[in-house]
Amino acid sequence: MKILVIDDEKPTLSMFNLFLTAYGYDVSVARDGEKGLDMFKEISPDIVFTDIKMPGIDGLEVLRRIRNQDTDTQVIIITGHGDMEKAVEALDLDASDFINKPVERKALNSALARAEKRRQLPRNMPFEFRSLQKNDFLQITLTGKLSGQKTPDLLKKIQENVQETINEVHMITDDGFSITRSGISALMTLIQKLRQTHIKISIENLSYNYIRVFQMAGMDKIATLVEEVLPD
Amino acid sequence: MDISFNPPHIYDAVLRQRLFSLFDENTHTQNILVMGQAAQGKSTLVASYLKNKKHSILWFQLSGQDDKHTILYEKLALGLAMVNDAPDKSGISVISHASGGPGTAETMLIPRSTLGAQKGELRHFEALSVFLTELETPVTIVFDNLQTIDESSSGFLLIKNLVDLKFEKLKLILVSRTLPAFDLARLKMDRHLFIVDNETLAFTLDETRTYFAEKSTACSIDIEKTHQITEGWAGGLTLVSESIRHFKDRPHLPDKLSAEVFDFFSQEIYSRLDESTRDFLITISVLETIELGAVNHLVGRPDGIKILKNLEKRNLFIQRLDSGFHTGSPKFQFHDLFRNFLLQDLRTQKGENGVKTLNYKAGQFFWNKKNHQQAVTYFIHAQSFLDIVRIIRVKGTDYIIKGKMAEPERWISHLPKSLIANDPWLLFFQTMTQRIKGGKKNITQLQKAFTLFEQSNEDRGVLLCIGFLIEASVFIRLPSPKILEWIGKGEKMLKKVQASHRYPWARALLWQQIGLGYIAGDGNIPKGISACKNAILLGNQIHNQELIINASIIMTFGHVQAGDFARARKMLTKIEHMTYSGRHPEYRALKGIVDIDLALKNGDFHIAENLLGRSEKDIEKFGLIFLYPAFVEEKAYHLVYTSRYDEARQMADHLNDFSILEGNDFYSGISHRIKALTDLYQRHYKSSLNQIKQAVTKLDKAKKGDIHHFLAIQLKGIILFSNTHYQKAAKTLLPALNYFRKISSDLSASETAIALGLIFWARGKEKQGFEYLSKGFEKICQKKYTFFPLLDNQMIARAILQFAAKGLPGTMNNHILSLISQCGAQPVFDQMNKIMYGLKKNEKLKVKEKFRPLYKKLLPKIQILSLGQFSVQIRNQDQHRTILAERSRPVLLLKSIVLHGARDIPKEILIDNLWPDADAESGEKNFKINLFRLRKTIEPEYEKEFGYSYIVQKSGLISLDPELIHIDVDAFMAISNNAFKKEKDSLFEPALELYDQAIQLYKGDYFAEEPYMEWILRKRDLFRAQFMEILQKKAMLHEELDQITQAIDAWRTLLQTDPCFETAYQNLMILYADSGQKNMAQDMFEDCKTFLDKELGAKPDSQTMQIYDRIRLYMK
Repeated sequence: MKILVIDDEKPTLSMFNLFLTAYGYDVSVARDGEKGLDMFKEISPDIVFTDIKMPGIDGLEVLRRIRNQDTDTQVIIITGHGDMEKAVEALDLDASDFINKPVERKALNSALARAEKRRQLPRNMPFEFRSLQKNDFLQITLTGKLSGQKTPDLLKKIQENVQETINEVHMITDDGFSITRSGISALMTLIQKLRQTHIKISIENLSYNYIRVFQMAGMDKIATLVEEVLPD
Repeated sequence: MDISFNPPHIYDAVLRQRLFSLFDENTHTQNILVMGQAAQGKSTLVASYLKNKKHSILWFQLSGQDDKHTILYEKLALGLAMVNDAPDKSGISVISHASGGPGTAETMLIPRSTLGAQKGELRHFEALSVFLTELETPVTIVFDNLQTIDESSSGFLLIKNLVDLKFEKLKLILVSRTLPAFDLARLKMDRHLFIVDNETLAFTLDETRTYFAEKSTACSIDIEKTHQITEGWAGGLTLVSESIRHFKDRPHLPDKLSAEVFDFFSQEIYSRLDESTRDFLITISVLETIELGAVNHLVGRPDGIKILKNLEKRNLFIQRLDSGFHTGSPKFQFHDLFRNFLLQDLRTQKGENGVKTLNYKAGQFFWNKKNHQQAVTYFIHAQSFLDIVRIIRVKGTDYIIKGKMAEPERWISHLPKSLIANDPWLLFFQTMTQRIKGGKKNITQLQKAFTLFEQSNEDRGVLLCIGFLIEASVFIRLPSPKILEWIGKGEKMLKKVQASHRYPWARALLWQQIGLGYIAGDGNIPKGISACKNAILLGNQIHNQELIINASIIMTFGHVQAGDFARARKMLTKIEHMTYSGRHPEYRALKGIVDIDLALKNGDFHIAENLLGRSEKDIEKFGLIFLYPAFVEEKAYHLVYTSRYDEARQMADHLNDFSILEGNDFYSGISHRIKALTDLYQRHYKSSLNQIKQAVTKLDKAKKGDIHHFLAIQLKGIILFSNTHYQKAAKTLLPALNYFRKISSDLSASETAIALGLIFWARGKEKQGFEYLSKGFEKICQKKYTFFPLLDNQMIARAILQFAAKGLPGTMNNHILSLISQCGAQPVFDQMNKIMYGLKKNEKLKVKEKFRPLYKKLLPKIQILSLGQFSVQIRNQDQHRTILAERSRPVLLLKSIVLHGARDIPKEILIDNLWPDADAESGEKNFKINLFRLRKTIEPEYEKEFGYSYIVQKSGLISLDPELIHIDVDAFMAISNNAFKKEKDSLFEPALELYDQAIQLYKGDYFAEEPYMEWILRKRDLFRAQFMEILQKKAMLHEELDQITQAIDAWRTLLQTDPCFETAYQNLMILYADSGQKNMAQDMFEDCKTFLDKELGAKPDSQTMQIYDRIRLYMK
């Protein structure tokens, strides 16, 4: 599988190159956004890692331009430490995932696993959910891109299904799940409404990096966030 | 591997002088591309051109298999190794080698990757480049059928790489139907490629005439028309000739003949053959190379060779690859257009099953001939999977051992997936074809194979699977417990099979991988090194060099990880002979890191910087991830030592990032240590202490070995000391000193001892302090250390002075004296004053005398030039300037001192020289005044405690201090006398070098600006005579060594000093005459005559005249 890494810091580039090559990927590197986009055209990578902050064409612009092309390439944004605002902006632009610097192995593995899975899925999957009631809890599987517009449907569906016997709602995100800024905000409002009825909420199978975003939004205060289990 | 490197056999080819001349005109262009349509006579042209060339030729018939760079490399390696073995051969006659047999290209085997993962082709490119650069005799490599290689393949990249680079002894001829994807414009602009295109290749009318003149059909043909319709297409000419031979009555030829009509003509010619010949031809069309044994096995027809030779004679659809002169069995190959035509017919006649049966028979034939590679090729066509599996099982391990997995990869790719999924060996070999680069997938596959091996009790399979599972786990960074789980299984398995002494290679490999697992995966270096030792032991038993070197590389890596550079260096020296230049990037990179460490410890920062650049390139190019942190660490230290502190911190941060991504604390500890050192250099003691505390916590000594732990402890001690926490510092440093002594880490031990000496001194325990300083300096002097990473100049200066003050007078070692000069004068003077402050007068005097040699070391050296223009120059590290040149009384005083030998001159002599008419009192007064002025000029800022140092006055005797003042005549006499001695001892080269040095020093007559001072004359004559003797001896020595030009130069220089030196004229006359310059010889005689007459009113002596007469006689 081909990976392109774009970063203006040479040591970071070297480190990514060495790690990803050892993982068995075919790695190419570029020192800036412009070169990166040229290389993108040349090698058609499966996955692109791009630093968000670069002189000239920055990471978000790289993401925008790649997204404008008809490609299945997954773009993972590398953000500075604690720069969640930019990470969310990237998710709005349909980045596959983001990782914070300094990059933790778990974050890298999770982003790679998510990107590889998403490559197998159709592009621009619409948001959908399925619900299943099991004894005292309701399991809702979420897929596709969740934006603010879609949450009223979700709330309605949950309210329809919530009966007195329901104590817990387990929202399971699947491999195709992604979320925008407005989606996060609407999801929080939805969870708060449910909590008013004393229902416990958990959001499960979240990628390592999504948990960071949800934590930053304060979601962990109102719902239990459960990380996906990655195989060794 | 069964390959022929011979050019195709040319039968009845037209010699195309027009094109040969083109080749010759471009003889200095490395690459020639012969590009033209099918059957345009490309190969025939190149083969006929090379036929009479007297150098080695390697002809490669490329095919789709060569898409794999590994396969192509293997062929190239084999061919080039044979050229190297027989460089004087005028071409490689018959070359056919079994893979792995004796004489194969062992030296070109690509080393297995141990610490890196980067794309394999780079290793092949590099090995090939090294080999071709070192070629001693010219070699022409022909890549025929280049168009059959996929331009995106690694095989094509390998060729492209060869074309791009320049090799002195290589000629590359590329034969292709299509224009290859090279950077043709650049190659042409650089005159690195010459192209013979389709148009140039086409037969001209004259060549067409020549072609048909040699055919019996010539009379019945309209040559001009034929040329017109074929447009010079060689294939067309053959077809026309053949058609006319068969169909003499053919009334009209078509308007145009091109490759598209090949099938039509083939059919016509083919249909005229008798049925049994047709059957013969279609049957053997399954053979890629037609060799008689295989032909007989397939058709059993005794006249097969006759048919083939007949076709060859008519230049029809077949070419001979090998004459069979050596093997008795010629080899042929169908033209591929015709082979396709025949195969098509074979399918029609005998059906797919019939084709498979023939391929199966061919496979069996080659298997029986023990040529398993050819056999597999036919079994693949026959889809005889079980036979392929059988061969893979038997031969697969050999391929792994040799690291050549391209062939098995191709074979396995033809097997059904279901067959692979349930066969542990196939699963295992398939994973091996994707070794390392397969990533996570390999783990799954190897685990499956492991389970199947375990179920079937195949111990060898289990050993190998565990070994490569450990390797894969390390490379994809599985957590340490997972790696330890596999190591545990491996160790258990090794215990199980140990007694049986079976599977030594598999056991050795597993030990090697366990070593890698411990060192790079778990970080347990002692255990890893122990495992590597086992692997080396077994490798030695089975004489497997590759295994030994790989295990040694991992072991060396362990030492580097542990910071034990001394052992790493020893290990590298041990295995140096086992790695050929450029073969092991791991070796090179490791050696680079060890050398960087040494350069840094020696303070050779420029060397270290160069080595860092080279190591970085290797690490990135070959993906040597495990060496990367050690490289970053060394780079950071280099930045600290060269005062680039911000960059050093960035590097430390980067190492910390690596540590986080890697998922262990170790490199984070190193990162803290670097930051602590940076802070210490910048005297930020508080943050330095904070950083080192974190380093000590993280550099746990249990796993990584103790060195890093104690290095952190040592730095902590020195930071505490710098912070004046003496007691804590001593407590911290003492165990570190014991440790460094135990492991003979001399520099660290010396630094620690010096720091402890200073600490005890500062605590008022001078005796203990002196003991530590003594021990520290003992090692420093023994090892000649000049750079101390942890001790600044002030510490070193203080240590030296305290050591000197307490030690016996006159015991200061020269090395210590030289160290003081690098501390800077002012800090040392300050320290001296501090130490002497408050001492009683007597004691102070004693200490002062002990310090005097140190003090003198800090003063700049002075050079007095008296040969030629007199001058006094000051020389130190920063400056080289003239301080005295003008003529004045103080200068005359100095000249007088110099003239009288510069040592212990009674002042009365000097007074008498300079003021001969003055009375004693005024002479004494003049002397005092001028001596004061002279001293003041030379030594304007002197330390009061030590007085004037350069010109010493003691008991009425005046001397120049020989340590501080160097006089050119002293050096001149010493060097020239040494030169005379060397010549006498027959050491001619060193003697000549010394003569040159002495000549350099003699810039003119002694005190040349004082021509009338009588007291100078005697010495002036003495030095001039010495100079003349040097020149004369030098000239004669050159003559003896037949160095005519140098001899002439020396005699001529001599004449510049003394134009009447007749011996010089005599020798020059002979030298010129002997070297054929008779006129110059005559001129010399004329010069001699003129100068003797002018200067002395004399005539040349009889010997000169005799020489002259002989020259004149000879000239006549």
